[in-house]
Amino acid sequence: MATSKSASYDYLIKLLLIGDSGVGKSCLLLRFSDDSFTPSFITTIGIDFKIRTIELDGKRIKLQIWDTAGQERFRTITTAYYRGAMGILLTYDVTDERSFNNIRNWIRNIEQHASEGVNKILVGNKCDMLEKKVISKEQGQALADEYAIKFLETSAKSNIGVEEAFFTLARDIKKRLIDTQSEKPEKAAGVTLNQEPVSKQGGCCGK
Amino acid sequence: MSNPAAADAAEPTPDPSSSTPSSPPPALQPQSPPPPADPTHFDAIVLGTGLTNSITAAALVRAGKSVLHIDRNEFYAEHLASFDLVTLLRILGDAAKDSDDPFLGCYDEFEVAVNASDGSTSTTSSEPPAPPAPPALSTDADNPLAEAHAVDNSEKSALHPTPAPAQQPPSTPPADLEALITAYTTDYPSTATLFSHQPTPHSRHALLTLLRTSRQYNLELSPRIIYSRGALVDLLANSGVGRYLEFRPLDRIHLFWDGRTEQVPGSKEDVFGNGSVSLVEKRRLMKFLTFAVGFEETPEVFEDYKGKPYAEFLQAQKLSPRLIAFVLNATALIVEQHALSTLTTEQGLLLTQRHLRSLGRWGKTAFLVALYGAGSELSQAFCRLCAVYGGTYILNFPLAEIITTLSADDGGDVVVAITAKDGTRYTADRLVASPAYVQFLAPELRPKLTSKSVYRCVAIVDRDVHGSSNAAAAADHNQPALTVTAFPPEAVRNGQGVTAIQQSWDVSACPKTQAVIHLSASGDGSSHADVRSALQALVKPSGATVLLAATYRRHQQRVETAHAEEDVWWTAGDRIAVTRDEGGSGLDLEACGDEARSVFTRMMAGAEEAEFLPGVADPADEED
Repeated sequence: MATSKSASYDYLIKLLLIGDSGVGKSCLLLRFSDDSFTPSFITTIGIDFKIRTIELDGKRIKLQIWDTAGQERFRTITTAYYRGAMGILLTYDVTDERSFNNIRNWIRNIEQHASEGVNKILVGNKCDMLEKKVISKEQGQALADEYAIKFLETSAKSNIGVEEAFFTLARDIKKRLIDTQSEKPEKAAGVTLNQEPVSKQGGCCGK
Repeated sequence: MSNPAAADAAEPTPDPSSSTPSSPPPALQPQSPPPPADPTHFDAIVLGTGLTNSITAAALVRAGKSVLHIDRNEFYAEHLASFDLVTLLRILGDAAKDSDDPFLGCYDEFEVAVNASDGSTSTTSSEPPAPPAPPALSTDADNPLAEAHAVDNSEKSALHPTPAPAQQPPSTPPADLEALITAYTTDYPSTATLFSHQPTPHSRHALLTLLRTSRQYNLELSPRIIYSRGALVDLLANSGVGRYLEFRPLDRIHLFWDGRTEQVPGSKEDVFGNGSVSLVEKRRLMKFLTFAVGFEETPEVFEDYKGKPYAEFLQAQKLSPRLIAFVLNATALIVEQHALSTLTTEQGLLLTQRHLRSLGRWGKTAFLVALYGAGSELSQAFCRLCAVYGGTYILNFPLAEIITTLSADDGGDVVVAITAKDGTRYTADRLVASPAYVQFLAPELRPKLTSKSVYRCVAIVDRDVHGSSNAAAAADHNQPALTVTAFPPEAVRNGQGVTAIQQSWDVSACPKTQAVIHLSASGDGSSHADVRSALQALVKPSGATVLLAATYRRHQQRVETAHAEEDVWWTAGDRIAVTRDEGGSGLDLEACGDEARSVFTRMMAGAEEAEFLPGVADPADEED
């Protein structure tokens, strides 16, 4: 966890996007990973996770950012989705009060399934849509304060605050897991199965 | 604390297209349960999120089919599910109350016993309890917890148990735990008992201590291990699903023989290093294993034994009863008497060969253990793959009816419609269902179901039950080892044999230093007493304390198929498939992959070369 080394990065951080359908989770992800935006509403098909490597304080941090695969729609997100997540972007739509109110349910879900101490940030997306906006910045901030987490308004469409949201979360995780040398010894890396032909000794936890 | 999955599932989720408050809510949109998925017609509806069905759903989606995947339960994986401690107790407790439910009805005779011998427990909620001094264990083979209760009774005069720690994890409010305990001790007097004896302040406190750390447990309904080399591992690697999962090698396999457990040799070095086997025996065993790994090449060796019991063939190889037990019970991992007596030489050789070929890939045994629970995690991983490619998921679906419309003319079109209790309706051209959904089918389409008992026990113990007997292994592995122990039929009174799996924090089964023991005894002759005596035999040498033991009976549902070798029931012109109940007494999951492949192939018959779960691009390779 957070200590994988390779030539291309110093640390690997797993992030999740959580929030109601249609709040723009995939748009935030695509804006951050590919700097692209698709205006039409499409349900999330084909996005598993995206990778972007950033630099923080001279360290190369590989962010692996997982999308919900649409399983948030009927609240059928797998418990497996939360495994090993170090940070979560809790996302609502500033033009959709229901998505804002549901943040509390998502936090309960996170408390049940994610590891304790996972870093969270509250994100109010679609802040470019001023005419339709129903959740004020103050309301968002108040909710974030209640859970003692950071808060940002973003627009994936207008590219407002997206970089800042991901970087803020990554920085908090780096502070928690990397800079302070987590006191509890983490599990050794286990066996993973991937498409590469597995060598006879490869992947064994005992090295 | 209500189950969060249940609570969340009941939350209405707005349809994304109509979620802005400025637009009035559509008149027909129900507030609860969630609005219908759009569209309402699919190429296939899959009912039940066990592993076979989850692989099938993913394969259909990958072949371009639209799939709606539904479960009546609020959790994934049906009988392969994995739960935290509170949820496990809640579900087994619910099962004791609701025998009409097609899923819960498969569980009964639920009993929980809690060790309360350590009255001085004063750990805080965030720390695992310090290992208490080993108590002298009772010799009562029927009840490993008898000693605990004896101590418990003797301490009844103590003024107060240690007060509950003040610090609580925010997600598990103490009031709810108290309520849960109260519910167990008052609501289930007839079919389930929380304590074999009257609950005391000490036993209540001991349970409370365990329940406070509930989330640190991942307890499987049907614990499984995975062959390191085989069709399932290949499928996980090739389909891309493997990247959602993490495994650890199983450390050791033990055989219970002559009243004690001994390690089964996993390699040539192990065989020759084994001090308890004579040199003659070692040579015979090596000769046999060398033959078995490529047995097809020398058919003359077993020709006379084709169709005859494997045990007879092994005797003819001059293997001693103990080595035969190595091969049958601890290598083929078959301990049930009926299965042993009907296992033919060819079938047995295939099992031995599969085991031998899986050796040496990872770790020292032929198996991998999945973190958080094999069946549960694998099922969810295939479900995620299915969802990534457009599959729609609904859990906690209040299924009311499956209606099948057959039009005999026009080539026999079949349309399957499922309706929920609120009237929500979805249709599909094809249906895959697990046995828990059979009762919703029209009577003429239902397969005949029979049931077979499996007795199970999940025990939380305070240390590695193999700890004291193998100091070297304990030294290079500071967590309790991951092990399988096979009890041959003769070793247990019931004559059916028992398997035991020990899991640890290494696979996120429990807090550090503790271990979880899953025991299973199949067949009609067995009982709770058999799994308990096996548990007793396991924990005794190490002096481990059983902190909690939950025993229950599982009714495995068997679908009577047209041919004995077939696991899947087909009807309505191959439009409807009923898959197998996966929660039997076996220890591996190979059959699920094989069965999913056969369901997929038959459903896609006629379609031009649809590949079964082709590989996917790895997003990790797509970085700019």
